Amino acid sequence: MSIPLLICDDSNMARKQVARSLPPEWEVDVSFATNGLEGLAAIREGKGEMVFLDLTMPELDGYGVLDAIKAEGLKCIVVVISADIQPAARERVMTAGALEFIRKPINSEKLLAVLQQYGLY
Amino acid sequence: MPVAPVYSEDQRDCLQEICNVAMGQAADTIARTMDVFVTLPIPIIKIIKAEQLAASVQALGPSTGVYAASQLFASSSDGSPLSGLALVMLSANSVDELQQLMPGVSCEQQRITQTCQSMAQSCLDALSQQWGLGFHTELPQLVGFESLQQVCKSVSTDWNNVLMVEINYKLEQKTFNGELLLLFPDQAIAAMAERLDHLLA
Repeated sequence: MSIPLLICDDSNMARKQVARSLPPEWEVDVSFATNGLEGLAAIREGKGEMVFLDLTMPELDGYGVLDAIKAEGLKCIVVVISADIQPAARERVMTAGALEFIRKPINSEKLLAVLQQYGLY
Repeated sequence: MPVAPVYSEDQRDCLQEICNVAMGQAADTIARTMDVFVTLPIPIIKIIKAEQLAASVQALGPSTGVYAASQLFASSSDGSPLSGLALVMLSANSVDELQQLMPGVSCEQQRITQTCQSMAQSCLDALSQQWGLGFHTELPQLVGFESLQQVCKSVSTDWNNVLMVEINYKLEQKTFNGELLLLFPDQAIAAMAERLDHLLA
């Protein structure tokens, strides 16, 4: 059965980059969200058992999404994919419940390494 | 009168994402040198008429005691016309706060120059790296706000249109507010459009 996968980023190009970096054989059902609020709504609808989340976004940023996931007890695995490479940004998202942090720009090698590290693929 | 260039939504989005990555690297440099957390904005990208530049810059800058630096950059790697001007604007409060943020640097002018370099140079380096351009940058020149207006007016006599990338750096729990503007004139607007199309293809 395919895993519901949500890609949440305000940039169309970034969403495409993530989608193109997914392992081709991975059985996932991909949805997209263009800001944190949309992303959160999609997660509530069960479209994001696995979430690739950007941090800097309009409406609600990635930190806000992580906080809401925790507050509402939503079941999902979140990997943050962001250009914010400050060490404190990584610490904050890990504390807020993210599984891992990947630096932008994303590519298939980086993504595969994380998925395999956590036995997700 | 030539028609003003326009970027498609895809081109704008692509450039914004590239600037986002570059800005992240600049923020990391600032965070490490000042031991602070930089609140990252969404870079704003727009194309304006060159004669509107001085007024646009004035509207963006802090209203009192602005310190600014301007820095020319150009790509020399492939002979392409991708050159432009980086402007950094710091409010008087920000400059005062640098004293506390950079205790190791006793000279105010040096603190401003170093801050401008972290904001502009790291961002340009990262842009240059993503595009394989090898930007050659001149050293930043510190200017007062009136001179900054002169800089804007003098470049706008040679330019028709300006692509402006606006990045506003703020520091968490600090009053520091620094505005970085990357200004690209006509030839660069066209050259970047080609590069963006290549990335989007």
